[in-house]
Amino acid sequence: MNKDVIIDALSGIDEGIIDEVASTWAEDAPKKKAKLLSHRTMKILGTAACVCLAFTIGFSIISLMFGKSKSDDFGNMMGENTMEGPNYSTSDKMPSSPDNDKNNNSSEAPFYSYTLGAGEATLEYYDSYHSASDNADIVTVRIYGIGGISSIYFRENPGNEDPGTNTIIRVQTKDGKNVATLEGGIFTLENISRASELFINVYFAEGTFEANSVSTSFGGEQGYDDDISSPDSDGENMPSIDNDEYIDTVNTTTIKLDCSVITPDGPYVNIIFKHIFDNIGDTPRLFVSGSADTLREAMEAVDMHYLFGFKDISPDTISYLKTNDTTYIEYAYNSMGISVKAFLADPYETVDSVYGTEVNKEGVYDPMTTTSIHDDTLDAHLYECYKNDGDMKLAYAIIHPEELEGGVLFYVIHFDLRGDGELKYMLIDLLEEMSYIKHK
Amino acid sequence: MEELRLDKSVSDGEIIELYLGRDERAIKLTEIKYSKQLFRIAYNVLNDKGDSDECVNDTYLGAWNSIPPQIPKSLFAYLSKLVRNFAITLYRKNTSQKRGRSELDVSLSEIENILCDGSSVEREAQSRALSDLINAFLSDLEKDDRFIFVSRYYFSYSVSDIASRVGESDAKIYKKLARLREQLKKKIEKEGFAV
Repeated sequence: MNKDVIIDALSGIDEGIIDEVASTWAEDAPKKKAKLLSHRTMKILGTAACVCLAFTIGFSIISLMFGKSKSDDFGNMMGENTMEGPNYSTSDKMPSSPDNDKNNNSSEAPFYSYTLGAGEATLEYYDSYHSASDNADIVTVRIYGIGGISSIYFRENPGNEDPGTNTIIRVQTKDGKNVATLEGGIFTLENISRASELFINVYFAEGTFEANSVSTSFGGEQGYDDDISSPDSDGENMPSIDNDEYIDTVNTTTIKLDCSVITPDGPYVNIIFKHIFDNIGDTPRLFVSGSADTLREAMEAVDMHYLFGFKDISPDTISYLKTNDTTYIEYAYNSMGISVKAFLADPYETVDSVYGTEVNKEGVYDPMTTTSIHDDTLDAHLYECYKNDGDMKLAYAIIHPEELEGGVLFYVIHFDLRGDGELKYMLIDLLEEMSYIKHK
Repeated sequence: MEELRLDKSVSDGEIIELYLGRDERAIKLTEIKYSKQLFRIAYNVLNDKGDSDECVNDTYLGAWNSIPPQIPKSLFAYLSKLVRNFAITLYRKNTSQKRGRSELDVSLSEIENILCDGSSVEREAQSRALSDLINAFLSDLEKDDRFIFVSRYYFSYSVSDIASRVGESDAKIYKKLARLREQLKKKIEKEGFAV
């Protein structure tokens, strides 16, 4: 419909209704909640979260392996940090921090936790056990709060001029996939989403290694001009700080671990990083992410009911992620030279944040839209969009007209170009092979 | 009135009295009390500071010229309608120049999905029919939902602003808006409007 018609129609809203709404806006804005953190506050909290993270991971692991004396060494290494860690072993129940009683939801579980400030960043020792089959002790640590781990490094024998002495044997996900690359004695875990749950197995032997995490803090709120207060233990009374930009800071922390286990097959430490990033005081956003073997498995994981695939062809890789802002499943058909990203989002609010480009009704990659097709078979509008991101790929967006629960399902298909710069498949060719998968 | 202080504590009734008495302090007090809110409404539509300032100034002049004979029941509601009208006029003028995307663009693009084209209907008649339908729809809503809908689609406030105002998360406001759009769509279909 012509926008003018809509504008005129909306302008005809009864005056009484306008008065009612305008009167509310005329009132002074409600007091800012503690959740509206400033840039600097987020920086501070992000740094503190990382320090806490590093300390507790190191402390938990070292304590687990070496008992109190090692944790004392670790405490000394951390300088003036006087936080007293509990003396425990893998068989002990660990007490909760007095600062974190509210997070200690089970007095029986082996538990060590420490809460920062207003409770926006929490690291918990969650569980530990010995695996006879793996001949390994396993420590589970849960971390959630603002910010997220964007990458993790494990450096063998820090300060050693001759790296690669096999302190770290390998770094894998829990299900055995290699997630780290080794270069110059540094294992780097790659492709770690800021909003992800990670299962990391570190196999290490005798020696020393350094775990170095890079945490990126960022906020979801923007443009609050008023001063806001900074945290006390209840998340209130925060100091006056200007906040007029998105949070995007990187904090780096380092922990050092001594290892004396020689057997190359174990033990290993299993760390669960679970990040729930959110605005302070808001309802925690739950995230699910991971990889799947089948599309149905991914659909089940993120509760996406529709998806299209290609007859008799299984994707080579499937990954998924669900936040309370967006949900997507990304799958690639290597032999066909295409990858598909299907995401469920509010089309006009969230998609532009996903892609960093403006979105309008003409297509996802505005203003690069060129043509559109309507396909009756799929009951979908197909928009051919040229993506200008310099990666020399063409992207096509399929916009499904039907709104699903929580948004509209978009598909963005990336086509690899052949050597001559032409597409192996045209979108219209693919249509004949597409078929919808319905889950549930 | 001679001793009137020039600050936000002056009531709307006193300001209206100044307008009616052709006292220019009315404009100054309007600016002191409502310039930020009026600017925001204009900015939601125009996404341009200079244009928004211009609209706010036009609003002061518009209020000066129209009160009297108009005697608004709610001063801010009256001013907000004025500033929105000025902003939309300027928006229409700017549209052909392809300026930056404003909240009005975003909010309109959300709702035009459900208010589809009925090409056989005269534009004006179509607008009136739609207005009636929207008013009926709004009348049936709970006050909170009505506030959210009108704030978004009449005043073009951002979802974050609305969420902040009502003390909800952005996600909840998104969901509520999606639900309200769906309800409106059903009503439109039920009424046999061209969809």
